[in-house]
Amino acid sequence: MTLAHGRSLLAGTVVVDQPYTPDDDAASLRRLAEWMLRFAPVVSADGADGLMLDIAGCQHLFGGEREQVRKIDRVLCKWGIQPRLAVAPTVGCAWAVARFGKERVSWIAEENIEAAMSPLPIQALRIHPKIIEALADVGIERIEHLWSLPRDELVARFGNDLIRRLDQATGAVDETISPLQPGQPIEASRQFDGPVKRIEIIELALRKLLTDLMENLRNKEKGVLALAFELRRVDVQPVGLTIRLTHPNRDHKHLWSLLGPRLERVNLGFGVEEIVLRAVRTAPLPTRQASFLREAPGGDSHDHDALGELVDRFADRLGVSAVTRVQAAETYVPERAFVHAPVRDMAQTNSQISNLKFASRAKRREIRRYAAHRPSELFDKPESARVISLVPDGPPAWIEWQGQSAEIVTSLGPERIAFPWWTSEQPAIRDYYEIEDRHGRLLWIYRDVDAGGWFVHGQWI
Amino acid sequence: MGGIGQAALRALSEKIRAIEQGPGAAPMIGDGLDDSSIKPVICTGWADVDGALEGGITAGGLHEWFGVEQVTNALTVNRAQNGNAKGRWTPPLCILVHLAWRAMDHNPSRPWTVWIGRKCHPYPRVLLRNRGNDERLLERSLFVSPREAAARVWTIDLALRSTAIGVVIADGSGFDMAATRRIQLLARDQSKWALLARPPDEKSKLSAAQTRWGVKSLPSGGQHKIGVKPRWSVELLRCKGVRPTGSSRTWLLEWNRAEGIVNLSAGLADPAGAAQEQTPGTESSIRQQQTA
Repeated sequence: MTLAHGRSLLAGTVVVDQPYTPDDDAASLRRLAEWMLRFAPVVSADGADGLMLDIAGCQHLFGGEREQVRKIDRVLCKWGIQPRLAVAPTVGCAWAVARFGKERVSWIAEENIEAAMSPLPIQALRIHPKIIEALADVGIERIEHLWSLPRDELVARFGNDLIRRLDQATGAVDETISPLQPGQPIEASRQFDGPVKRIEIIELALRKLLTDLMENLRNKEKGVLALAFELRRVDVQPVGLTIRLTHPNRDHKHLWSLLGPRLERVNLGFGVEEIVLRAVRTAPLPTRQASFLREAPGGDSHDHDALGELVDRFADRLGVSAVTRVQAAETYVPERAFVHAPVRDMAQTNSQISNLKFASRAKRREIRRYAAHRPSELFDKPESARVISLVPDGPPAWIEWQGQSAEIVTSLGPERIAFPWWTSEQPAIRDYYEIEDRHGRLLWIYRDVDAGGWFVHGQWI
Repeated sequence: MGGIGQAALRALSEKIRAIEQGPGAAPMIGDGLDDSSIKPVICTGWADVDGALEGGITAGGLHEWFGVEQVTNALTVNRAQNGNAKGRWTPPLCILVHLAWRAMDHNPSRPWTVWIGRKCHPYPRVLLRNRGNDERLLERSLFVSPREAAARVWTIDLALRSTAIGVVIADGSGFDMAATRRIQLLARDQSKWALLARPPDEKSKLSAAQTRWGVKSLPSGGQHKIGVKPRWSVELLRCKGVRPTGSSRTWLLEWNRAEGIVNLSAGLADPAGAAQEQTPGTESSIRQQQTA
């Protein structure tokens, strides 16, 4: 089904159009699974849209099984995920009831497995679609139809898989899940003999930990993208801070330039007993041949290192949103044709820009053709102006803007730019003119065709 | 050909030779000259300007470009002139973009350009050159938006120290002598251009800049088939370390919109003529309209 077909069937419904990115979805699901480890010791991603948690033995930590499930439900709902939850003695039963059961949250006792499974469709058994079709051909559409049929005949006609899945759901055959193996945290810690209140000692210990951590990362050929340190204080809650980098780095000097100022602002309380430094996010960073001078010709990698360090410093002081790069966007609307995107990950941004160059050929053609047909300054918000035309809907002849009125000596246009009608926002049509008035002002103005007003949108300066 | 023609040709050939030798002066080490006397320059691409400045603008230093004051109503202008209110001004963005390209071409090993201050961020489409085929400046530009003057100075300082950065272009409004001296010394040490755009009402403020330039907008002088054609009058207000040759300190520039560069205005070589032309209300200014 095409998107247009879907929209026509769902007239009046807001349709969110986003590219299908299965790899990103899988990575997000994996991150969610890692996060769910706080609710159960064994967690695994189940297909593309599910999680399987083995909660046996840890209910008492949450005040009972029901309370534990409620907490999971509450947290996921808070994040905007509307989960369907099922608690069952077997993996197969939980999978089936969660996806095909009537209730959003279900509890199935051991003695009720067959009763819970019976009304569910055959698809709930996780069998191949061809087997489902074959069963449908003979009128078997729900699981309850299978209970009364001879098992040997089912095997002979539909294969072992059907019976195996049925047994797994009822618990006659064991089924295990492959638990998620969270990566070993890369961290270094230092425990003091007693509470330490002197900042010099803590600074010295943290520098040593940073050296150890960087050595560890160097052996793994990794660089740090997010670095967290935690000070465990006496009688009060531990205090922790995280610094985020835009480019993988393991340069001690650079990391300390980010860590040091933050350490100075930390309240040490009654003293620090332990310091933990942890590389929260890492990325591959191959070891390179050392050079005598940092600015020695080393290709793009040296450039990126230097630039990454610069951006880190900027973002640390001015905020992430204050450091941007420009990305072209697929639109003719001038204020959206170029997007100032925060430089969060230099490597990622580079690849995005290079992909854009090849992905949007139409845009490249458009840029080539009209390379300089835009003003050097585009106002964030178009400014209202009074304009007089000699004929209705004709070119402008006189303008008053910023309290200064003048005759227009040159005008070129109109260039009509229409907002995309297929988005949910109010469509608008603008007729743009390049004008020069008697004061020598070179302006880019437009008439809002629908509303009828004139606006100055930019100028050449 | 008369004597005047030959003299003009000789002057032209000298001018071309000066431009050709200008950018190459820096690596001429070991030719018997005192190395300390050789100052690397970046060719601006404007023959008359490069000729007057011994090949171009000094590569390591702070260069201030005073922006263009907006024409507003008389009350605002009077208040701004009296120092009671800040007039609205705009940095000479097209000229700064052109200079950023020249710096990138001069030193490809330091390809990144940093634009500091929201006011100095040009519309990104202007960063394309050569009919949109050359996107290097767009791809190698970093935009930073610090608010206060102190934060801008800190950002410029850090950017000048980075080995990846070739040129720093910043909003220099509100900078004092100490700030400009700090930037000038650092830019000289790092052999980089620091281009500051400053409001025109700060011309009287003390500054340690190597050169100071005043920019005025000029009428484009008539209809152009492909649209408006911005032109400016650029005046060299100060030049330290170099004695400019020739008598003229004012040049006329115009935007080549197809190529995305700023050229010397060929039709307006005589500044006096340009001054006459920018007088509004002359009979020669005939309103022309072209509709598509």
